[in-house]
Amino acid sequence: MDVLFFFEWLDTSLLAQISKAYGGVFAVVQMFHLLSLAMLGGMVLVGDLRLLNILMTSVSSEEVIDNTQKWFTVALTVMIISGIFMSSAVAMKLYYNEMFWAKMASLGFGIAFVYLIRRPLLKYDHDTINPWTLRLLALASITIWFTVAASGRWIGFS
Amino acid sequence: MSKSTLEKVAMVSSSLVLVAAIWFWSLQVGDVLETLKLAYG
Repeated sequence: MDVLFFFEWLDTSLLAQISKAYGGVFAVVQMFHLLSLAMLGGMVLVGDLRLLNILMTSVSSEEVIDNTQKWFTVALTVMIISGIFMSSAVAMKLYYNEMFWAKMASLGFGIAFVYLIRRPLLKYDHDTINPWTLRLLALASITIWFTVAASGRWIGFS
Repeated sequence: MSKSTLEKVAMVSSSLVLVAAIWFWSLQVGDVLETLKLAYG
């Protein structure tokens, strides 16, 4: 399915007019995007390093995962909303950028991984889950969100 | 999905993610090295 029509629409939308005309508004939205990215990365690291028994070992992993998951969802929501606004400024450039699509693919996979696999599995008592599954899950989670962040930065170099 | 099925899905998908990420980032770093070689010899 070709989504070119969506990017053409976004490029001429009201969002694009605002993001192109007002640099200050773009900068503020970008600040929220980066803050939420930092928060998301922090929640992923705290949760997954706890699953790997590296961080906060005196607190139960169930409690750490419960608390980080809430803020992860908040950060992801802010990141997506601000990301749509920011991409409206360079919609056509992004459409033809391979790294943008790598980022979108890893973001889509990351969301599915968190809400369809990681979260449902970690609702069970962690002591009843195979420790190697927990370790692999944590490593994969860190890898996915590193790829989302790094490929986003890579867009600027490609 | 039952817990054992979820565990299996988690194992398989996590392994696939790690393999795919190694492959993807190796390609990216390879491309950068090639560009640097072209630029600086």
